Amino acid sequence: MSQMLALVKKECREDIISSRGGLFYLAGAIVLSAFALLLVGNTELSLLDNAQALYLMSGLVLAIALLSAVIRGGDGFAGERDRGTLETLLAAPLKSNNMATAKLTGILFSWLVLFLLAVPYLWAVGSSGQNLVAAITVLFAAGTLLTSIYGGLMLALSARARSFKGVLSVGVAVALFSAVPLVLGPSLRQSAVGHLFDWLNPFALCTNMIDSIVIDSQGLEQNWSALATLIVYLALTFMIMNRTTRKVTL
Amino acid sequence: MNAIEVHSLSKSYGGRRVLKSLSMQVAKGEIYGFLGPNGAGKTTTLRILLGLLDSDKGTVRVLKTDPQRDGAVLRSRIGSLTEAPGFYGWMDAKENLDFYAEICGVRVSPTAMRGYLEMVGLDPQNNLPVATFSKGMKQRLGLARCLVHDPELLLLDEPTNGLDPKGRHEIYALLQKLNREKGKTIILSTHILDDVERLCHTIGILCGGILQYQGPVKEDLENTYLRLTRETKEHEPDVSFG
Repeated sequence: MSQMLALVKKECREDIISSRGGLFYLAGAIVLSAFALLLVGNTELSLLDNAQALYLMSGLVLAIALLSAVIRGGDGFAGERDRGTLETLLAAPLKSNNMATAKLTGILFSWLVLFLLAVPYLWAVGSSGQNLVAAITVLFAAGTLLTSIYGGLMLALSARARSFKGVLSVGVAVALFSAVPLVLGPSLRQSAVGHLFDWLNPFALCTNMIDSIVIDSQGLEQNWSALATLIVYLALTFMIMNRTTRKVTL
Repeated sequence: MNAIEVHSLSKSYGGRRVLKSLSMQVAKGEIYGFLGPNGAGKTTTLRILLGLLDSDKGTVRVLKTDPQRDGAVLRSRIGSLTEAPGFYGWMDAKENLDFYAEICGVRVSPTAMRGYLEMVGLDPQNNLPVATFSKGMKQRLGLARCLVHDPELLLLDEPTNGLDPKGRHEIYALLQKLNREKGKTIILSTHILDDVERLCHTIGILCGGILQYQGPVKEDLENTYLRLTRETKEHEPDVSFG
C-alpha cells in the first residue's frame, strides 16, 4: 500500500511541478477565462439565462477533463515506455495493476485540480441564479465518473501499446467522437440513433445529466438510469484495466 | 548454494529464437561475468531473471523464487541496472533515489541517501534536475538506485556504459567492495573483457542464444571469446538481436 502511495505522490507532484502539468492548467485557465468573458460580454451569449450559461461552462469543463484523462491515461504506461522510465518502474517490487491504480488516482487528482480551477468561473457565470450549487455538485460527480472511465480505458490501452503517439491518436479520435453530441442538431439527437449514441457514450450521458439537473432543475433521482449506466461503464472499465495491466511488459 | 538456476530456457521474439535452451548457474556470493556479442540474448536473459519477460520454455529460479510467478516479491531482493537507466528528469538525484526507495517499500534517511550518492561518486549537494545530467552521471545514479533497497542480488547490464576509465575503475572497486564486505551476488553483463578478468569469479559466454562456456575465468579469455563468437556466427547467421 505504501508503495502504491509513493507512486500516487509522484504522479501528483509530476502533475503540478513538471512543465507539462503547469502548461496544461495554464491553457485550461485561458480557455475557461475566454469562454467566461464570452458568456458575460458577448451580446447574444449574454442573453442566455443563468442555467444555460452554467450548463455551457460545465460542458466545457467536462470536455477539458475528457481530453486531460485521454492524454494522461495514454501517457500512463506508453509515455513511461517512450521516456525509458517504465523499466525502472517494472523493476520495482510493485504489481503492474497496482501501478495502474496509482496512475488512475493521479489522473483523478488532475481532475480535482481542474475542477477547483473551474469553480470560480462557474460562480462568475452562475452566481446570480439558483442552480449554482447543483451545477457544481453534478459537475464534480460527472467529471469524476467520466475521468475514471476514460482514464482507465486509456491506461489499459497504454499498457499494451508500443508508443505514446499511437495511443494518443486513438485517444484523441475517441474523445472527438465522444464530443459529437455537442454539435448534433436537436432533431438528430431525438432520433433512435441519437438516443442509442447517447447511451453508449459516457460523455453524452454526463452532459445530459448536467442538462437535466441544471437547466430542467431535476433531481438526481430522476437521472438514476444515466447514473446507473455510468456506474456500469465504470465497473467495466475497472475490469478491463485490471485484466490488461496484470502483466505489463517492456 | 546457487542464487540463480536456469534450465533449458528458451525465448522467441516474432518467430526468432533469441534464447535456445539456455542453462546456467550462479553461486551465491560470486561475481558472474555474463559475456556475449550484441544480440546474443544477455539483456533478454536478465529481463527474464527479473520477471519482466516471460520465458517460452524452461525453468528459472532466482533466490529460490520463480520470477514469472512471484516477480514482485522477488524484485524487492534484486537491484537491477539497465543499459540506459531511465530517470524522472524533473526530479534531482536525491528525489529519484527517494522515490525508488519508497516504491520498494524502504525508508532511507537523508544521511544514508547522501552516503549512496557519495558511494557512486556523485555530489550529494547537487540539486539540479537529472535531465541535466551526463550519461556517465546517470549511470552512476542508476547504480546508486539499484543499491538503495539493500538487495541480495545485483543484475547489472553494462554498468560502466558512458564512464571514463577512472569512473570505470571506481565502479568496479565499489562492486568488489559490495561483493567482499556485504556478500552481494553480482551478475555483470559486459563487453569489456579486461574488467571481467579482473573482477569476476565465474563467467558465462552467451552466443546465439546458447551458453557456449561457463566456468572460471580463463587465462586466454580474449581468444576463447573470439573463437566462440566466430564459430557461432558461422553456424547461426540469423541470430541478430536479444
